[in-house]
Amino acid sequence: MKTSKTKTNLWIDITIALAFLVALEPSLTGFSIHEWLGLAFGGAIVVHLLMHWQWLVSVTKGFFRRLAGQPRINYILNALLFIAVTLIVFSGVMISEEVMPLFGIRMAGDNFWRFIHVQASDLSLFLVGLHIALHWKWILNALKRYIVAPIGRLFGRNTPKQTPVASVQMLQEKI
Amino acid sequence: MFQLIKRLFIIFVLAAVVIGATFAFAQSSYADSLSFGGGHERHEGAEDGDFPERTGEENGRFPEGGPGGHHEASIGRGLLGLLPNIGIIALMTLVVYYGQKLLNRRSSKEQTATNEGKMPPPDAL
Repeated sequence: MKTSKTKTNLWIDITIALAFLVALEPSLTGFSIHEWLGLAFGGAIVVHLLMHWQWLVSVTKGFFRRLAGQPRINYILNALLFIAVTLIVFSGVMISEEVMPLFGIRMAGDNFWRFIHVQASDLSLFLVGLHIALHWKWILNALKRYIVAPIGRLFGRNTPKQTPVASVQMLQEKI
Repeated sequence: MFQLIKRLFIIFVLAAVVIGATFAFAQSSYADSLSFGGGHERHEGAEDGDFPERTGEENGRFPEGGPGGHHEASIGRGLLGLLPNIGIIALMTLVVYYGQKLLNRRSSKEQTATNEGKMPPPDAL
């Protein structure tokens, strides 16, 4: 059975969003899970970027030419998010007290990296909020299609199938 | 496969640029002039290759509520801590998405009004 790209994207995005929220609150998991989750989050972001590579390439090429307002804002926001996430993950490694010592590497725990870790995390919370807001329509449509509708069918509710026009709209919104 | 390696290489080069810039900032005199909560410089008493023991630290861990915050997990406290974060994201989504929708509706109304203003009077037709 072939899984659609939108469905894969949706599940990866949901996983990343949940991991981000949980990792943002170390008191929920303890520092050991926080650090491992942070590293896995970094890996998931790389996968997320690879999944949207075509969009990245096309907007990068067209950024200084004619490009509509929303993709341009989206691109700048995504660039800021990339910087913030890179800083969070790297500064996290620099102040690691659980994961790195496991490999025999003891980090200095410099206050500069601690400062960067906290500030970048706070900033990324707002950036993620904006990122979700800009993709809200796509998220709602994908949730309805791949989560709400199957659950509805499970309970015998007849939910209308998505029309081809709606599918094309979803693709355009994602872009 | 080669495409994947190329893409990964680009991502890691971009990340390295960000990290390099941060390292450069960390070494700059401007960063030295800032205080990052009690010592960007080497811990007092540290010798080459080791770090001084921190007050109250046991088995390499800070005490509860000590430097670096809480190390012990608490589901109740953690879930409470999650709420403001979820709230901020939800608020931003509401404000930006519905604000954008409102702006679009207003601008389309204005556009319609402008178009109507440009239309010739019916008796001129």
